[in-house]
Amino acid sequence: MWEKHTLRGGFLFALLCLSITLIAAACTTSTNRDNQTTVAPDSQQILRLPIGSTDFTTLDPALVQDGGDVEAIQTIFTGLVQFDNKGNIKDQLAASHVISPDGLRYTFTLRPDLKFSDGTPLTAEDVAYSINRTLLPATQSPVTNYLNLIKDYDKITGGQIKTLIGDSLIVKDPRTLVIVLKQAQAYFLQTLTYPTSYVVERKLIERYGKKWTDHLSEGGGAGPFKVASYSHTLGLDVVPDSFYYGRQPRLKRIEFRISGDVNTTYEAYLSNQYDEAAIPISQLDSAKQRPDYIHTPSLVLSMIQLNYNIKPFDILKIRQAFDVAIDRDLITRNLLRGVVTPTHRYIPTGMYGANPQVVKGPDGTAGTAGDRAQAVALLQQGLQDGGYSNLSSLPTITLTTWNTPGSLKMANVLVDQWKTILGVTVHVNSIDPNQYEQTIGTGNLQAWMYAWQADYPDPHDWLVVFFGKGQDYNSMHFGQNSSRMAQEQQALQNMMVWADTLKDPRTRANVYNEIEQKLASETAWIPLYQAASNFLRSPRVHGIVDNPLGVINPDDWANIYLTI
Amino acid sequence: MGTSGRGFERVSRGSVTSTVVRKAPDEPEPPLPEDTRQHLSPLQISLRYLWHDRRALICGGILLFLVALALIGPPIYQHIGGISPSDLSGSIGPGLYHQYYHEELSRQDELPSAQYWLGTDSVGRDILARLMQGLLISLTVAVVVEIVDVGLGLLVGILAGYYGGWIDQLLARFTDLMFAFPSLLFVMLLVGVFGSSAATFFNKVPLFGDPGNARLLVVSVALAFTSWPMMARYVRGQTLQIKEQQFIEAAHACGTGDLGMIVRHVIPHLLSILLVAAALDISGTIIGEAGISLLGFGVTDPGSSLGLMIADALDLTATHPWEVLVPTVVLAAIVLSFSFLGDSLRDALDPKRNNC
Amino acid sequence: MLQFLVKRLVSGVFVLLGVSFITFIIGYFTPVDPIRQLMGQHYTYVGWLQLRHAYGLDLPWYQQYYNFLFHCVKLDFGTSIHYQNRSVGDILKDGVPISTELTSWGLLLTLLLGIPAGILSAVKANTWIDTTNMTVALLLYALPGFIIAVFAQVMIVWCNVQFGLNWPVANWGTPWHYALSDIQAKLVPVLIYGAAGYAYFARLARTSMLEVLDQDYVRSARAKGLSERAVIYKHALRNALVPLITSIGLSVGLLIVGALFIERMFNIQGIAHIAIDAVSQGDFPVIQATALLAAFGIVTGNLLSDILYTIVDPRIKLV
Repeated sequence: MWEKHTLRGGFLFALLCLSITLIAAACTTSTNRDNQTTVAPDSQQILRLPIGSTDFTTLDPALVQDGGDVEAIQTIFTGLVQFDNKGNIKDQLAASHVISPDGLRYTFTLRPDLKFSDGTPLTAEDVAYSINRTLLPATQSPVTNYLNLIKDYDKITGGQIKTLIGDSLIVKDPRTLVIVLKQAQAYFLQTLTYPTSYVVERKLIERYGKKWTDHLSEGGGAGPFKVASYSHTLGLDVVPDSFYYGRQPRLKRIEFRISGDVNTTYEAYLSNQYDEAAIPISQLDSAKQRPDYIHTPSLVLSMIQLNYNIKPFDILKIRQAFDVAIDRDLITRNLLRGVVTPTHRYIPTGMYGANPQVVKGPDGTAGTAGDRAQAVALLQQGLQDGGYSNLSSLPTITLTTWNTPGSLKMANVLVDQWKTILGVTVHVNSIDPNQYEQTIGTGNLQAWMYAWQADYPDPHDWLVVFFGKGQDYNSMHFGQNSSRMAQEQQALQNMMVWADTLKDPRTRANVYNEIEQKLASETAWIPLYQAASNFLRSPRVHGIVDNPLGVINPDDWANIYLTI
Repeated sequence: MGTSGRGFERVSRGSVTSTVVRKAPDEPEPPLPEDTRQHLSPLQISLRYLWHDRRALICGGILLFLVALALIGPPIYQHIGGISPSDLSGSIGPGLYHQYYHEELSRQDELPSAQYWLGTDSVGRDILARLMQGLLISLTVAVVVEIVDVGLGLLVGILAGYYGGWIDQLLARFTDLMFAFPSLLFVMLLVGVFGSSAATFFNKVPLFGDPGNARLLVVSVALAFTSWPMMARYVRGQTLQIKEQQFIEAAHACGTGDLGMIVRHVIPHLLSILLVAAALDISGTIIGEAGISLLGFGVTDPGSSLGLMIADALDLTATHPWEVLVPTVVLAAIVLSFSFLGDSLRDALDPKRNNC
Repeated sequence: MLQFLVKRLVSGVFVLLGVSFITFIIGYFTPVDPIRQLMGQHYTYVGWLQLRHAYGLDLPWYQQYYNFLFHCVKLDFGTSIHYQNRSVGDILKDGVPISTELTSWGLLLTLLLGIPAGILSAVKANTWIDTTNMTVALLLYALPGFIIAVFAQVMIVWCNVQFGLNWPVANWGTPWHYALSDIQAKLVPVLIYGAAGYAYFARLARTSMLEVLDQDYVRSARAKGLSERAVIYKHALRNALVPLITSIGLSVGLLIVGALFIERMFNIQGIAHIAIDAVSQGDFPVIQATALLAAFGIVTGNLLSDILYTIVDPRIKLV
């Protein structure tokens, strides 16, 4: 009898233990799952983004240049088309668009019942007004050239005609707008993704004039969010716009806050005051280990541009020698802590027109560690070609760079490498960042560091802008110089012009890839690396698809939310 | 106080007067005992006082050490050490890797070792070498600024104080103007305007011609320009006081001309005061130069300055505090030494101390 | 007194004119092209010409200066080049309250703590109180503000991480508004600003007090049999404060100028921060306006200290 009791007792006890364990396990796992997937209640759906050490330069889409400003503007305003997170053009305010067979007329049909954030109806007239306003001299926009494909662009920006409405901006009816181009170019729609063509509310501008961006809480845009408050010393708050035509954002508030320099912002992020932060170079090593580290290549290339008109960079082999001597891997690994990609590209990866295959350097390989022996050999040949008897008869070589610590360090490393491998002494000339562009623009510098970010992701913005004939940014005098390569270069320039007329995107891309490889083999400039965005984002934030364009499509805000 | 005229040594100040015993005029005076004490000039008295002031000695010693470090340190340091492998250049000797601009990207952020006595910074440069160069720069700038400062201040202040009248008024207005100008803004503006042309202009000048240092001259001149008004005011005030003193009257009575008056009587009095003022001011200049380099307007890479070293290391304070500690401590040491030295000098040169 | 004030007013205007002219000329001859800077990557020659014209930068220098003065009288300082469409007046209106808040609280702290500390040091000269006090003061004085600021920030982050606090590492909060979050943001910068001033005033007060205590009339007062307390507070203190008045007056004048390094380190959007950014951006309307503002502050401070001087020491005649 006693044994039966103990057996039953033992059995019950075991059952009890087992059930406790099971329940405990169930509880823990369910709470774990809850932690990961518990969506924050509405009162906590607030995304806090730092914007750096100063106020926005401007929130007027017609004037904006700075990337941070563009981010904020793209939540409040929107245009006819925008990129999706894969880089394809997607209709926004436009429900559809049609391109005429000759490529000169783009007809946009707007969605029905569009409204501004204050409820005022938005029609094709407002779209035409906004684009026209950007081009009017009175607006003083520094970025009108995004719209330079529109017919009579020169006349309106030059003040010779008063308006383009009725001329190249034709309002057929309240829902139909036709834009006429001055020549058929394949990349026109890309240029419309930039804020210069976003729609702004005429009523507000006419009432407040130049200060209208201080009154955005009263209306102004048609984006997924509208302004709740804007302080020039604290920051910007936006909340969902109930009149937005697409899906409503899941976030209830975005707070853009003035946060301080990179270090301060980073510290503040670690103290949980922001949901995102850029990483200072000195912290990169430790940041890369963190689970919230995000690395996306960006459409930024860094390079050294060499002037064809100034000796000795009119000699092909000398240019190649300088290129092959550089150990990009060492620079990337040690100076930049491995967060950029060394490259020979002239069109960065991640956009339409980027070469699907690796681009080879002047040494015929894709290697980025440099080739000592070949560099020396190339230099010897170059000296002969140029008629220099020895190294000391080379003219003085000066590398110009920005007068900032990071750039100076980079320049000194490059100078060191050239000295060690080629035996050539290069002087460094540092210039204030404010004067940099204008000094380059004189076209008299011998060699200078440069970096370029895509205005719109099209090969035109990468190759034609720098190597095209008569382009403002062709300070290297590519094609129009007195070197022996000028003829070949002019042929390439013509090829680029022809490529822009091609209608089939794939053919066009192939042509550009061919041009790019030619440029790379002949050291049209010395590519260094493709930059990347490296930042930390709080694991509470879900739904953001990072892409090299750095754009969040207005409709994608519906996928973004915060968890506890 | 303290002319060489011995007759005035006994002049009393304050309420305690020495009494002179007067004998009746018809009695012959007893012979006075031989006065065998050594009569030291006030300068010698001051020096003696300084010598016994421990604080002054220590500070002076520190400063002398730092100056020596800046001047003869680099050549010595570049001969100490063995051959070491380098990223790009094969094997190199201390002549290269102990240079202040030489970078070894694979040796970043190291702590002190046998090879790098104070470790390396964020691009693998030897911190001790940079420190010595930075000291040279900081001290040179300080000296140049003080010379201009004192020179201008002396000139303007004496003229204003001695002659008075319209010169005084004009100079006062001018000093007001310079005084009202926010000094750092002025420096930044000047560097912004003349900075890049200075680089090409001073290419051939030693030290200032080295890469990254050309703007120093502009910074020095700008700093001096904004600090001389204080000095001039001070000098003017002291000149006014001195003018009222009796020995000036006496010199006038002797027929000494203006120039002689200024050179032989006023300036010597001022020198001690100026010395003290300069010593106290120099710390401000050094901090000013450091601050300007920190903001990016002064010395730039590959040059080195204490301010620049601090700026470079600021980002790394949390991860590599050693790098920001070294220049900070040295900067503080210099400033404190000059301050203490100035205090001691002022105490030593204080007229009340010169046994009256 | 009236005559004195008028004279000073006239010289003050002269000074302001001089400052504005110097800034203008430096700005005019600078190689920095603000329009080029504004256009950045989107530069076109035609656009550049148009923008220059719109900002009146293609006029001859005397005309530009005259226009500037003319508008100044109407208190219109022009439009910022960098922050297009923002008037300089608006930018100043945002920055001045912030700068003055920081410097006012800092000055208050300095005076309330520094002067009594210096006096105490002097009274107890050469005791351990004196030595520690002066050592602390000297350390604070020698270490540049930016160093202390950096260490302070590191401390804040460390405390945040260790104790789970949420103290902001930078920025200012709402000016002249004292919710808890505002106090958290403002406490450290004010302390640091006060610290540097504390060192200065403590040393000054000590030196001044020591000199006074050494004077004959103090000896007489003691000889007369007055209590030490009376000697110090009734006779010595008043005279010791006289040399401090100049400095206090000047400090009040500097309230508007702002604290350059602290604003930089803590990213406080005050006048000094705005001025530095403007110099980097070549934004001349802003530079001119802030230089004028700073000069105005200094001139006012000078005037204030002179007036205070006469009130405190009737022997001084206003010249």
